[in-house]
Amino acid sequence: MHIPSVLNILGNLLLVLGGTMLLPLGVALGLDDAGKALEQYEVLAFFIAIATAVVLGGTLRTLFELQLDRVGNREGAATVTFTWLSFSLIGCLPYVITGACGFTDAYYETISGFTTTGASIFTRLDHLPRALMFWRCQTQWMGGMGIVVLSVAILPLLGMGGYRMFKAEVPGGATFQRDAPRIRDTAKVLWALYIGMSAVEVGLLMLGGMAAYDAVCHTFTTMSTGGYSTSVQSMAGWPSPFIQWTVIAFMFLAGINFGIYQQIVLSRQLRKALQDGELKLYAIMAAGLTAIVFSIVRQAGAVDGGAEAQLRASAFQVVSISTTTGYGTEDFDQWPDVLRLIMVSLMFVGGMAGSTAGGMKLQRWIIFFKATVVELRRTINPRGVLVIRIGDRPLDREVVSNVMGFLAMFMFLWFVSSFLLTLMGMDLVSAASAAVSNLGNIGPGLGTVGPARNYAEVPAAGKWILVVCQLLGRLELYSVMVLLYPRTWRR
Amino acid sequence: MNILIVGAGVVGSNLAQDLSSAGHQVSIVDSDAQVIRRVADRMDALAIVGGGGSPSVLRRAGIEDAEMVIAVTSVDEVNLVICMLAQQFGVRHKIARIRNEEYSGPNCTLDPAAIGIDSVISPEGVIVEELLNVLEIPGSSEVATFADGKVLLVTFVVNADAPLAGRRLMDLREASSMAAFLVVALIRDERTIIPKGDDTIEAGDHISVMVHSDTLPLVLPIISRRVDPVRRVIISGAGIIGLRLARELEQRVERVVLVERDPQIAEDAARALPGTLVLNGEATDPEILREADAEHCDFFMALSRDDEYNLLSSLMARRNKASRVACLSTSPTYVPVLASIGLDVVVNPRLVTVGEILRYVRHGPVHTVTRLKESDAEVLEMEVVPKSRAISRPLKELEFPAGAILSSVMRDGEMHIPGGDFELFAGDVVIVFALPEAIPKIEKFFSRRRLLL
Repeated sequence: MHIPSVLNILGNLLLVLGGTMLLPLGVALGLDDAGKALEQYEVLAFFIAIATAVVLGGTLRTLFELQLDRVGNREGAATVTFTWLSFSLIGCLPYVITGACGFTDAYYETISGFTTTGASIFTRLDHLPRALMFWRCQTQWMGGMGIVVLSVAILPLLGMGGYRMFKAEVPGGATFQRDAPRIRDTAKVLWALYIGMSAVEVGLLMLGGMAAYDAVCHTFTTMSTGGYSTSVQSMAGWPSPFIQWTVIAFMFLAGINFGIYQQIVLSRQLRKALQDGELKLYAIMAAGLTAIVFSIVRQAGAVDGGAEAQLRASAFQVVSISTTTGYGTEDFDQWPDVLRLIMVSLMFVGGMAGSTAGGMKLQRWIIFFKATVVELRRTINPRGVLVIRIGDRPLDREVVSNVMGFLAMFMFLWFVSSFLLTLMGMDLVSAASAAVSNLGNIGPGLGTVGPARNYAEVPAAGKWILVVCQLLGRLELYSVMVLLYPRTWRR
Repeated sequence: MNILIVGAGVVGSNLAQDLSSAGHQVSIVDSDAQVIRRVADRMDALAIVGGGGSPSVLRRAGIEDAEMVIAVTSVDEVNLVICMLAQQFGVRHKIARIRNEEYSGPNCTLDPAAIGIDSVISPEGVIVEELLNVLEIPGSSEVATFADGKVLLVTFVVNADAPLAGRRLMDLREASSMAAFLVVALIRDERTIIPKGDDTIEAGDHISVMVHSDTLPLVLPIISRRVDPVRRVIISGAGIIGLRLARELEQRVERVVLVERDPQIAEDAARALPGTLVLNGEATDPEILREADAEHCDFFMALSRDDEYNLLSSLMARRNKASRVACLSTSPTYVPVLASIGLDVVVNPRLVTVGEILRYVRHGPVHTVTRLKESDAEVLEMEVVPKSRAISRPLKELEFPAGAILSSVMRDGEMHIPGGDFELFAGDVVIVFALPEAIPKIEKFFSRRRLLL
């Protein structure tokens, strides 16, 4: 491991963070939140945070020398993991300085933002100044497409080592397929698509009657499948069907592999793009589960209102959980047990690989089932050379074993973190659902962490466990776990 | 004709032998000194050691005076370069062997004509096509096509239960009054004869039949009793031929199993063939044959590069009740032997290559030349030129060369099987089956009459 290079890149990325924090600083200067007690330190808070990022980043950059030829996979993983940890550290300063919450809560809230989990410790939001809330949503938007992907797009110096870091951060990990010759071009295209779609959503939400500030904040958290809201009631605070259907649509779109958009927009291969097996399964699952949930909701009368309201509520919760967004319009913890089970099971699935969604990713489950079928066939043809295919593309054995390892490790981590949370006194349902919800970057769970409640009651040590879960989940286990492996640190 | 052959592998050296004994001046170039020494010992040709892609070597081999260059080295790219150099030297006919489908396939980017190549020969492609033909015609062991696929020469093995067995040819002709087909050759005890009306077809004979592709389905029941379509195929060897054939068969038959002994090649094949079951192991291993379900296999094809392995695996498959067996043999000397021990189809890459090249060497307006496998006989497809001695008289008045048979005539897209009263006109395309000794006579017969000859 070449630590100076890691620190140098980290320094550069911190400068980028400082730059992005100018945005909430602008909001703080521009919007007047008269009457909110926390507002008086708002500008100062962002100023200190930016100064810290710039000074720290500048120091690292000058003290340590970057040797691009020494940036390998290990350095990539280390850079990405430390970037996320240090971004959350500086990103939580505004919460602490304004006095919104203590350090543990602030760190939890920030990393929950960057990892697009959307699990919150705030029991009310009305006392928060709008600049702080804007920053809270902005962390999700940055984390959705990936802060390293962003940096790769704007920092030319990362050109070569960029791919290693890109690989460590992009959702879908080993199943990601690179097709542009320069990773910087890929990163630029991804961010351009992301910004473009965000702009459309802001427009539609405003058309539906949402205030510009709320529209931008909610777009930040929809497109990133994050789930923070400016209202403590989440999307229930905007009962307009038009707004809710728009949000459903954009959550769904954000859960689709961005490579598919790239194919449609750049290569104009709409038909071929729609042939994607994972996309078909994703669409069928969303539609099918909505239908099932809707029929049960209707029978049990779990949602008030007419058929449209019930259908909308069903679609909203299904899409919100399966894309790992975590918005709510209904408290599904009050629904019949079968629906609660469906919701928790969805947390294990996640969106498509290469989307902004978290979770284990559909692609991995597809590969898992195909690998299982291959094992069945192997009992019939012990000497057959059996290959797993995604579409026409045969998968390398390394990718298959990577995926199988991922699934097993995810389950194992889920068990360990549930165990630790119950050890701290959480009840079984809350602990188990909180663990999967945080590992999968969803947000709400069941019981004390249900959609209508939050993570404020979780003991401090439990919050730190969930912080680790969120980071592991967002960086797809391997990038973080490889740093716990002693050999990684050898020269 | 001055002919330069580059590459003295199986195809190159056999071609040199054929052409040299047919009276052409042949030079042959190869980079392997030992191979060249063997060639020089065996035949009357100028043999030169050196890299085929080098202009100085080619000049030493006499490319400046050559009328034809045949590039048959093992590397496609070298063959392409040789033909481009030949173009620079002003050689008239340039022929290259190209294996890679991206250079010569139906959707290829490279246009061989644009870089001066007159003819691309792809033995693997031809073999695959031929095997597919054989596969689609039940009971056949060899299929050659003429007149753009309208006329077929099909060789069958006559089984004891076949309706033909034990019948005289003249009786047969009466039975099938429509004259839809003509038996042009009878192969018995490794000898090829052109049958006359009173010859009898016996079980175990191989007969070659000239038939129109449209009437083939009507003729089949007369020739062979087995008409089950092929549904399950086992291929041994995932080389170029095995791979391409498997890819074609995936679309046409129910089940394709490919057996390959090299693990890496097997892996690559499995990745390339989504609809094929690839097994890694020896095709001679009974375990593997059981796993491939050889017992219920309609066609077993041994297509590896190793002749002896192919022979052995064919025999194993036959013992495992595979109903038809095809065997690839790179060595021409094995071909008659393999046919005589009961393998249904024997394929030889050299033979299919030779036919393509002979077309250019033959005199007269020859369209295609096809050399048959089990004998040295050739089928020539040629146009009747004005002033030929063959026209404007009924056939029975002509002295048609012995050892050859005028099997069919294409006129205005129609196929005719000519009788004694048939008259040829200029512009007709004739398909002639000829034994080796009759070939020069046939060429003369159909060429332009000259005053001094």
